[in-house]
Amino acid sequence: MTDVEESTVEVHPVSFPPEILARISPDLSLQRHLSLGFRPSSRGFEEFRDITINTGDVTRRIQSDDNSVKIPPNNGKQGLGSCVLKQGDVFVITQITGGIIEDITLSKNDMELEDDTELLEITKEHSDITKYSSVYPVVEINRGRMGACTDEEMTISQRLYDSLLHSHILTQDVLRVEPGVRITNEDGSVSIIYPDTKENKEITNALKPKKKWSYVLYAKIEVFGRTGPVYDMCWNSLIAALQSVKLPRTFIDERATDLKMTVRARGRNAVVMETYNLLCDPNESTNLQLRENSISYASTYGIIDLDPEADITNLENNDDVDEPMDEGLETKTVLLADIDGEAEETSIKSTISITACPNGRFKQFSVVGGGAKITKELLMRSITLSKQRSRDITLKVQTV
Amino acid sequence: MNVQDRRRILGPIEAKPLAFPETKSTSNEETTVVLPEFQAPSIQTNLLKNCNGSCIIENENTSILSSIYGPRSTRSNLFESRCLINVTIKSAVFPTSELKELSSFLINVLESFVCLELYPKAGIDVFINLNIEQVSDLSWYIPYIMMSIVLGLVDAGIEISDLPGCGFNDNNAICFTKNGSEVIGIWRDKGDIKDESSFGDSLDICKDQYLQIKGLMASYLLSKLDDDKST
Amino acid sequence: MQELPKQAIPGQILAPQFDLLEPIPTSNNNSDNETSSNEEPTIIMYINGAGTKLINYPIGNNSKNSKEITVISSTKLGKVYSYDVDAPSDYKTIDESRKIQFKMISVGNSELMKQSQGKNESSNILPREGDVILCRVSRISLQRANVEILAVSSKNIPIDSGVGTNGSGTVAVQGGSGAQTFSVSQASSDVGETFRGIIRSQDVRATDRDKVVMIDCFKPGDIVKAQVISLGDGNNYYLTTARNDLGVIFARANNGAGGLMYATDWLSMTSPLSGITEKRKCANPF
Repeated sequence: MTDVEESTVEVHPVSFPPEILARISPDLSLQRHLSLGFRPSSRGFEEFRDITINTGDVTRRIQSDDNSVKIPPNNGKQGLGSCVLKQGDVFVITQITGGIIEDITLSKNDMELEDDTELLEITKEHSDITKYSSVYPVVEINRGRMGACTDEEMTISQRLYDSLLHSHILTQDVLRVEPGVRITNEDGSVSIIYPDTKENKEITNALKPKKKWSYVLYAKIEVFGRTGPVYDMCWNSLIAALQSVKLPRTFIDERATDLKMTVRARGRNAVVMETYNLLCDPNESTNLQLRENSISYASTYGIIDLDPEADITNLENNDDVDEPMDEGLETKTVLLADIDGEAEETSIKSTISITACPNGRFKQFSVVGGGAKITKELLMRSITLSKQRSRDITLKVQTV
Repeated sequence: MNVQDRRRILGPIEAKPLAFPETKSTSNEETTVVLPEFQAPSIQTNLLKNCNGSCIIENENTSILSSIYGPRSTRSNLFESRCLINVTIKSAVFPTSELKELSSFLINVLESFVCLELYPKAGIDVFINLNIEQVSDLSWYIPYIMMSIVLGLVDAGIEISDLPGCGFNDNNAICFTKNGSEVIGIWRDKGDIKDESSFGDSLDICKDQYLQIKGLMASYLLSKLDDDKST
Repeated sequence: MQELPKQAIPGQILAPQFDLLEPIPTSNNNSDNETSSNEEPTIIMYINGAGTKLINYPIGNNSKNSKEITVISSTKLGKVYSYDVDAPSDYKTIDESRKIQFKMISVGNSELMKQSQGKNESSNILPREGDVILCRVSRISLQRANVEILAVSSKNIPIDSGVGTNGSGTVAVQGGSGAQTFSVSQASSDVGETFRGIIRSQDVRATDRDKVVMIDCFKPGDIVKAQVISLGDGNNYYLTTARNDLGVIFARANNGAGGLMYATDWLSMTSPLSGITEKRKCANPF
């Protein structure tokens, strides 16, 4: 830091502390840092911020080991899965909540599948986008504001939604509700039968209404302490949270099923028949099945031309820097991984965003050319880095 | 709200939230109304990097995050010789109306100890995020909320004339300053005050709690000063 | 006389307003010190500096004989400094026979505090009259330049004025809803949420004040060093650059498209790469 300032002093005898220079002239501050070989955050060019991921932390403990099941507050806002991600100084808290929607858009294909879930495996590679589902994300970036959501929040939400849909991580089939039936036995005790065994399946099939339901998943993503672009963090946090999702099993009270309706001979009260109350079982849940080989993690890169001017000043006036640029005035372009901080965010206009699986498959790749010279080497380098980063994050998520 | 918010991706309107069956253990809940005594929470300040001060207060099942923005410029076109304070509380558990009421209560409390005259033309925004698992009355959380605001203000370097605090007893949350010699706010969620003596008792209990909280805050701040020195 | 604590937390009482330099052996507590001050000639009057406040504090635990004394109490977390100062201008000597020493007590944590002898409120980041500030020009008209204040020299930079808090990091294609988003304190505008200021044409320079052509002095985007002349109205601080060391310090040629320019004289700046020279009211760089 002091080196930078000393050089500033010699060019321009009015000197500023580094933080003031960064505020009044972020691009100059960034260039000065880069010409010395490090970034304003004192990270290396290709160094990522440290990341920690905790999943299931805030999740309502649906299933505990003993019978000491926690009774959830009955306000319908329970989290099904969650993730607290910390990258550098930024916290991202994702909470997945759920809802149930009546499925009215069943294709014939789905009807066939009804009895044989093994077919799911076969249709996995089917690229029809209607087979896949997404979550509804609401991103909230805490920055001391109130009122309507900002452009950034809207853009990120939409991008998360689209990316998740097209990355084929979540299939519609895993979101299908297989309701059980709550039965009041002759002795007055209440039990819930799920169509797990063949025997039970027959019972539930007999009682089950003809309607179909699906889960819908919502993600509330809150960002605290934003210091730079946050899309990659939101995505990583969302994916990690999805892996912790436990869907509660649902059931219908037998009194609400078709069969029971007729038995009770309430007449042709069709309206009542429409309002099935699907209830969730606080004790039973299943893990949300994601398509493992599509799970991917995002990373961002910035590309910036080193300003020869900022460098010349070092060459001419600062003898401490003994590594003059060989190319002389030729602009050199560098790749910076994981953009963060005010100077980088405001000065770097060319960015690459990559969502990659650890195994090297890519789910999303976007390049924004903001004036810097994006070379083939830089692109290849960013791809290599994104694979590494994805592997790193996978390990962090799994070890939890 | 008939109109769906089109700026956010909220999903299909027809979807219903997950409904859990009514728990039969309502009698159980009534026994748990005996709220836990004040537990010394874990404190961490200077957590967030995009606001001037922040503090998180965590208990077993509460986590209260305060973030302090400002003093910064205000929207007012009039010249204000003192600074304006705003408190915004976010929580998924409590209804908005109640939170709004609490924030205006907190603004009044804050105005009694923040050195407003030092910050002309400026505003201080206080944001509170309540992450609460266990639902109990709002007043039970006020001591923790106060604590996180006060420590957040100290973290932001905003000048305050004292370390005030708040105690909770019998639905009363009472805020004190100056070693308990002054009361700067009383919040009561529900119930009538039956007689003066019972109120006086809970005043004393709250005062003891305040002194305990003040001790906690003071020792935290001093240990933080020592840490700064050693580094 | 009581020892000053080395460090303080908000609300901590640092010293009574008046204290004796040499304590009388018989008196040990504050109240005695104050009442017996007639006997000892040297009195210290503590003056509240930055980070401290004068408050009335009740002493005596039982309600019967409680009385209040004026004490200096800390309002901040930090180290305690004390400096010998001259008598404040509004101080009137009542009794010539008394010797009075004046000491200023301040609380703070930064180096700035040491340099300014406790007078500078290092953590109070608001611009004050007389402060030298750095600002960015946001709008030019014939009569004045509108600026946004970025930093106050010799004061800490507020964290929350950065892009992390204010940033328009991503803007939707059609300009988005930025106009609808507001902080509690302020509606966001195109200039963000910094404090705003005005440099009037007559405050640009000290000479030829009525012949100032604003566009030859500042361009939007320039970083200007200026001094606060008044807190102004609700919206703007009033600033001046009528001093040799005040004026444009950073500017880019061609309205920001070109390279960085350096001052060649007090009226013009040149870009060393392209050789472009543009007119500015420059700050003396030396």
